[in-house]
Amino acid sequence: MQQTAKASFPKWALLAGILPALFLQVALGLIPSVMTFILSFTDISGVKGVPWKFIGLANYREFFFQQSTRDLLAVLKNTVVFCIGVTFFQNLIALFIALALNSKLIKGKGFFRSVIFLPVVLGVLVTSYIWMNTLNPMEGPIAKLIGLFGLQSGFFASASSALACCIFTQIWWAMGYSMVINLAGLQSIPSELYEAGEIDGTSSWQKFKYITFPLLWPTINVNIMLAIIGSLQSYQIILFTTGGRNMATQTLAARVVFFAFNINSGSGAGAMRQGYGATWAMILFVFILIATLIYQRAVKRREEML
Amino acid sequence: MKRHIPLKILIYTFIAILMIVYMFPLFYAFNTSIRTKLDYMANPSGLAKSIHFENYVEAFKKANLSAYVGNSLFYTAVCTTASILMAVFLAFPLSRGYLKIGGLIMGLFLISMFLPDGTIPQFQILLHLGLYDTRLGYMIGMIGGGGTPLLMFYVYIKGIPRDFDEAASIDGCGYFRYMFTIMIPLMKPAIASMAIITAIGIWNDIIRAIIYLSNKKLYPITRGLYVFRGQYQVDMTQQMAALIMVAAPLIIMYVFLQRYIIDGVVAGGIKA
Repeated sequence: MQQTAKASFPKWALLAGILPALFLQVALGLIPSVMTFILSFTDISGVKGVPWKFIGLANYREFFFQQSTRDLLAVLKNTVVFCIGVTFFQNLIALFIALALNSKLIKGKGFFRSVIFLPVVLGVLVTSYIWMNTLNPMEGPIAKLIGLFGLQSGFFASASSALACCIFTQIWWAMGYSMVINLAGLQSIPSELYEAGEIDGTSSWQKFKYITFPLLWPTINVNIMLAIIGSLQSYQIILFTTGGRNMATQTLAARVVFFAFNINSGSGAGAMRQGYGATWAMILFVFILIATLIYQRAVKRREEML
Repeated sequence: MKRHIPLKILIYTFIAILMIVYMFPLFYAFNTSIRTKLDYMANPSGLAKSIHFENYVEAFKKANLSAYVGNSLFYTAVCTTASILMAVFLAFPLSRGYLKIGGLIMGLFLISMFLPDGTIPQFQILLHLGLYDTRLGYMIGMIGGGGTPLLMFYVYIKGIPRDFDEAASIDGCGYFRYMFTIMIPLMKPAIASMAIITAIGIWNDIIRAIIYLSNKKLYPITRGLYVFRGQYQVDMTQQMAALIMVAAPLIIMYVFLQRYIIDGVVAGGIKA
């Protein structure tokens, strides 16, 4: 990283200042992360005093062979669809939003930016309830609107549309982050490049293709990575809109809390299967690893082609 | 300029659609909250015929918001202050390169993003320490010196000349006194931005509140809103009234502080 500079202050004081943060990071960050792996080989519950033991690979055997294959495949499919759906649409729309709000032709940018960022401030629970209300299948405003075109939907309540609604709500909530990061990336592109382009008589499309997009690409890349990891780990919107029982929206991350903490699952605290939950968390971890590797590989190949 | 007009119309149309998608649900939530239950049931998508605040009174009692708002303020104040202080005291020696193990410590904080999720073991640790269903147990997992504040302070401190450190130490000013009287005031813009972002995250926490707290006396405000959970059988008018009461302070705060908030996210995102 960097060379050690001569400290103006005694070392013990500097270390004493670091200690609280370091202790918490190790005790409640690093150690739990490693322990997830260990607990995945146990049948530990979420209740103190209940005896528990190491059960070898039994949790993994249950994951792969003893649960309903249909449920497992549904969860894996939902995880992939949720991840790709969120990552693709969030980044595509965020790119358009950032371009629009960076345009010289537009007034009131600050206001528009603030409105789109607002859901981040409101949080997941408020966001979930707002959309449950708006997407009320029984004559809610959107139900009425699509009714004009002869369509109808159960939205969060129907197996065929629930996951799409979760993806939409997730994007609506997290869009602000992607937008703001893109805007910062756009503003760091030197205006001289555009001025030079103007002298050469480039069209708007050419400017986008040869200046904006290539220079914004590193930012978009960060955004995509954040969206892939974020959407795979995210379960709050799913939990608060469709609950833990609806298999149509269950993802790996949602299953972790379903087994480990019984949130919305309807069963009592005694059923908290934290060892098995840890197994799901480990599989999710591997899943994230594979997803990011596939993405990185695809990006590299694309960059080599250009 | 003439050739820009179609593009301008296109962009404004796009923004107009976005504004509807972002503002309509909020407006509709407010509209629902001021209607009587009967009025709502008769036509959920209609406009409120007259303004009723009964839902607010009912929801305020049902969600027990008066009791929980104090808890939320307490949790947010304590966790934010502790986290920001930790991040400052962590970022300073690392950014200055005063410690040999600085790189190792920074790595320790950065690597946690790439490790398996530790929610379950963290629960086990706090459970076995007897911290389940306590204020401390709920808060301690939300306190930390890492993440975006660490990265932002790390960069920000590099912009503050080292001469200050040397001058202070030559004048016999101790480390902690120096940090509190000189460094922290110099870092005000960065600290303001990070404190607000941290505070929003803690105020909006609901998962930890569900996992760690069963005693109603300890609930934060979000846990009050969560009593309205369920699919569609809940009373939407009351739920939306509770939602507006939880969201209103956030929206008001946001109107005044949005510049700091968005700047903070930019800083975090760029270095992520």
